[in-house]
Amino acid sequence: MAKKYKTIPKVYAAWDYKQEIADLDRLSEQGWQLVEGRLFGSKFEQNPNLRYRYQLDYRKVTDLPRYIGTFREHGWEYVSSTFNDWHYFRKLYDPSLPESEYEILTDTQSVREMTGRWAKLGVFFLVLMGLILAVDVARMIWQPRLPVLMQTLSYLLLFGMFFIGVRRMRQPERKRAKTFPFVLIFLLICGSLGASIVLDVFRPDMSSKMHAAEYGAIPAGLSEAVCLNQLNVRYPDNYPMRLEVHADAPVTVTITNEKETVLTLTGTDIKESIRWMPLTPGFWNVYLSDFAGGAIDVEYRVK
Amino acid sequence: MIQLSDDITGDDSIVARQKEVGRLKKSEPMSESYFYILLCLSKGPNHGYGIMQMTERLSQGEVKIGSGTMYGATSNMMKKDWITEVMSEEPGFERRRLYQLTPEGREALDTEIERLRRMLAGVEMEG
Repeated sequence: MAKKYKTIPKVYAAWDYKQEIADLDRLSEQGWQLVEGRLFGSKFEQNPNLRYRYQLDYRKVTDLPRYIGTFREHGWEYVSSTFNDWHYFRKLYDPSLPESEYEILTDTQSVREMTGRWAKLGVFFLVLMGLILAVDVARMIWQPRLPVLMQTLSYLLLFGMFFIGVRRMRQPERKRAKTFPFVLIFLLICGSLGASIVLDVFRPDMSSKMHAAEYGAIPAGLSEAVCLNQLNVRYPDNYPMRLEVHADAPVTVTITNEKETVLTLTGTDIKESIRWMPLTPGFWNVYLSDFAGGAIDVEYRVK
Repeated sequence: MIQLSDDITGDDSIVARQKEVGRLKKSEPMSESYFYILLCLSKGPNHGYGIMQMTERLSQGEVKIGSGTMYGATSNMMKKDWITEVMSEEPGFERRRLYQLTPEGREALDTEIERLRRMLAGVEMEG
């Protein structure tokens, strides 16, 4: 009879390693034996005649033969290692042996060393998230936009997640109050980050400019105003704009979608950095009006 | 010809002072696992599981050393030069790795035994 294999797509947060061990033990009882432990879905082989107890060790190992040999002497069979230094071991279960037989870390010092090793990595990510968060908060203050807000919230959640993770890793032996869907939240955060990056990168550049050495007069009011260009707004958000006008005579710049006007500026030399210009989806026209005539230079940058 | 002292630079006194400071600095208590590993090896070279079995016997069943703890402890001790790895000379077990105590390791064990003796002596003393 051919052996049956299956891959169980499940990801465990690093600090939930005890949960993973419990799951492996339970699966072994049900006849599914671990063949390869992987980060995104371990591989199992069906064999109902065996029952194993499992252990996970987090460690960067430089002399693997001595490592595996030490465990083998203690009755542990080496299964596999992940790329990020998690090692899987298993031992045939014998109910007559005490539970201590199935432990690999037997004093507080070695447990602390193990969790400390991971916590170091966790703290590194915490600091990284903190820095990115600080940068994003600065961006939000300078140019509040929806994609930047999504990114700021995503990094804030990531920071919180790693903070809780490091704390859970460092906590001494105690019953987990409840299992928290860390992996699900992590995937949601990644999705949000991806969406925000898409919104940011694929936002069309709606900048435009005009230069004329001699332009005719334009009457006041919008009915006969000259439409410089159109802003094609795809989703509602704040669209900061940089506007520069140099003309021989005062000119009025208006941005409107015929329902509401979002900007009106008059001057001969205008140089404005407009931080706050919320636009709803649709077409927004950039009008020039009330111009006596002469040389005119208009440039605006908005994305 | 004037015979100058061999210790022209005063190195010997510097070394002596460093050894004393080193002894003071290293005088932190060691974990039970570390103590028993050194104690077992003081009785002769042994392999990981052999150390674990002897530890259980010497501690009257109180101290067990798991494989993860054993590997971490032996790695640390090799880094500190307290133990070294040797290959077994027992016929049939030539490929087996054994650990062996170094002079530094023996000194660390003696320091710890001294400390434990001192602590126990305080129990009997008057307050």
